[in-house]
Amino acid sequence: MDKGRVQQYALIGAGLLCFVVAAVLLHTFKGQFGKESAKGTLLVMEETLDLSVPDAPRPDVADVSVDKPQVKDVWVVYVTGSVKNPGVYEVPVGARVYQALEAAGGFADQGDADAVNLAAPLTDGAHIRFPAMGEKKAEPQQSSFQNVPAAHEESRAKSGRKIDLNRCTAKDLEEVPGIGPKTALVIIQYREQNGAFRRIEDLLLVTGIGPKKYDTIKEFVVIAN
Amino acid sequence: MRTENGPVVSAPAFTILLSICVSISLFFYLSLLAALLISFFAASGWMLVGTQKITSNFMRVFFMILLFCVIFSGMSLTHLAKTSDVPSTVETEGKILMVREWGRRNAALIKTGYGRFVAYMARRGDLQEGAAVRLRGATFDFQRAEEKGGFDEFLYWRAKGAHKKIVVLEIETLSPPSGIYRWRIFLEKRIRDVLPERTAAYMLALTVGVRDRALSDLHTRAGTVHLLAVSGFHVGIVAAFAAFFLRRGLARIIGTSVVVWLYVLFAGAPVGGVRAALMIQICLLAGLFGKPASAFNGVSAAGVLMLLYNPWTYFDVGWRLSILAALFLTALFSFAKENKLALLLASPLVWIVTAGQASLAFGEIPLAGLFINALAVPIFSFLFPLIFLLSLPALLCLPFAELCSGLSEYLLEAWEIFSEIFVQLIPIILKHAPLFSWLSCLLFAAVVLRASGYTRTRSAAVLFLSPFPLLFILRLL
Repeated sequence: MDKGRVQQYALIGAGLLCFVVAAVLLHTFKGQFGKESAKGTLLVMEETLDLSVPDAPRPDVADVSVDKPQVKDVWVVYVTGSVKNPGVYEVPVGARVYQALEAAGGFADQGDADAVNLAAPLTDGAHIRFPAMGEKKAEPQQSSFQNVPAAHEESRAKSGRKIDLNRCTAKDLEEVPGIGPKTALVIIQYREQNGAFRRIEDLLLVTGIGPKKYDTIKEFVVIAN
Repeated sequence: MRTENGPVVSAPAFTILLSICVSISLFFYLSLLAALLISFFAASGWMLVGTQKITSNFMRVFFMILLFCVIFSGMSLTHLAKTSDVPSTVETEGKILMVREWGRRNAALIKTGYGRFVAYMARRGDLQEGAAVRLRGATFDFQRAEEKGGFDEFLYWRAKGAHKKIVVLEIETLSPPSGIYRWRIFLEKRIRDVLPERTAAYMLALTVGVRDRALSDLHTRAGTVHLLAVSGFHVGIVAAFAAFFLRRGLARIIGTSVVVWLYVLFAGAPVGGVRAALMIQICLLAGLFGKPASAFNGVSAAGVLMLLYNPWTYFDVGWRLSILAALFLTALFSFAKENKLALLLASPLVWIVTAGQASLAFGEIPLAGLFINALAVPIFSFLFPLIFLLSLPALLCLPFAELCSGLSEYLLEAWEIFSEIFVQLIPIILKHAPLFSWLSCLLFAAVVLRASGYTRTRSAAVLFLSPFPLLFILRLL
């Protein structure tokens, strides 16, 4: 075989080897196909719905730059306290506290079913702590799921505090200037469909809330961490 | 004389473009390093398989190309991965770069100190391109396509340089449009005021890049809508005219460059136009320095420069169609310029090459386009300059304005009637199918392989074997 032909085969062989290496690399990293490599995704602080803390004042997070809430099929919540199997669970979007409790296997023996409003709405990434029997008696105020709306109303009336967009009810929202029953309902529906509000500006994504209405509302609402 | 010693000799710029495209297309699926490595090995394999023999400076050029591949791919990937640090509410000043219809509203691309934003707003007379504005608004991320093939707001606007969309809470105009924007608006108004409807619609598309909806619909039905987007076809005509009237030498190069870039800026700097202007500029500069100008490498280099400036351009349908068509045509003419049949078939072949991408982007394409384009491209290469010349008397208030405009209107109407008849004769609408993409890929690959210095045997072997790696990639996807 002449030298030229050997050179040709060597070049083709080396070229094919390069393609094979590229294919192997592709195959090795195939597990990441479809994921967007978390590029540009901003991590946000865990949102905690701690049953032991009722409605403590929370900082306004309007100046924190975070992504628009993504539409998800499930929410992930962290369940602790007096339940059979504490841990991280997936619940359907728009789930209530009882669904997180079911996922965690129900109350533990010492769990206090009266201390918790099982119908309270959840948010994605929430931390739910179910108190034990003794806890409630010792610290009766440590149960934010007890009559949440009532607690909101009372405390807001006293302190003029802002409404938490992720925990309020439609009735709460109706007290905000510029929000009527219809808008309140649309806001709640948006939250149930898209998950928690990450920042106050997300209100602009709700149908019916334009710049003027937003400017009126924003002073009276807050997003809790 | 053409050499057949592989991409190192015949297509260095195309190899770099290929490497960047491979790395960008893997960006969403792999880590940056993996994407970079794969593009590096793909470029190496592409060059080595096509090489017949090792010449004296082969290794030097080979490694230089690879170095450029790695640097440019790395730069592009880093640019793509960069996140913008924009507050959730901004109050800033900026300039409106582009305004276009967006359903019932307008979409405005606004350049600010925080980067470029897109605002969807109600139509307002004072918010014109080039106007300086002060605005306050809430910023949001763009939405991704809900399903494969659906409209991807994120990619669409990132390709135009926008970082976020902004819901405007307040906006006020600080100063009216200035510079080239002012002249664009003036010309647009003048065309609308003095030219008859049909001629005005064509002139608006040709000069300031504004497309009339009815005219767009008519050309979409005929599969010739690309004629209304300022691209290589139009820039080529302008460059040819400029070069014809200017003397040889430096004056010709400078004059042609100025005319071409002015035209592209007037047309709103569409991706196809910028790509063509860059390619012409590269070829002109190559001529100035006494280097052989390869149109195929010129197109590739233009593509590389555009991706380096904004790698998101890769996801722009206009850019893809423009670069595909230009690469295909320049590749075809690089080895078949003596073949009259190839020249005759060029237009329908370009249609096939872009059919996959066009049907994927628009959902469907009319089959009539395959045949109409064979006539439309040569006809419009004469018709467009003629329409421009016939419009001048009206635009410049010269004698015989009405006669010239009437003649222009008559010619365009005649074309429209012919086009409509043709569409009725071939009323077949082709929906997107994987077959289109395969056919487009195969035809494109066949021509590009030959233009890249692959021998016939190696080109045939690559084409025969190409379905296997493609299936492999599709399986992984």
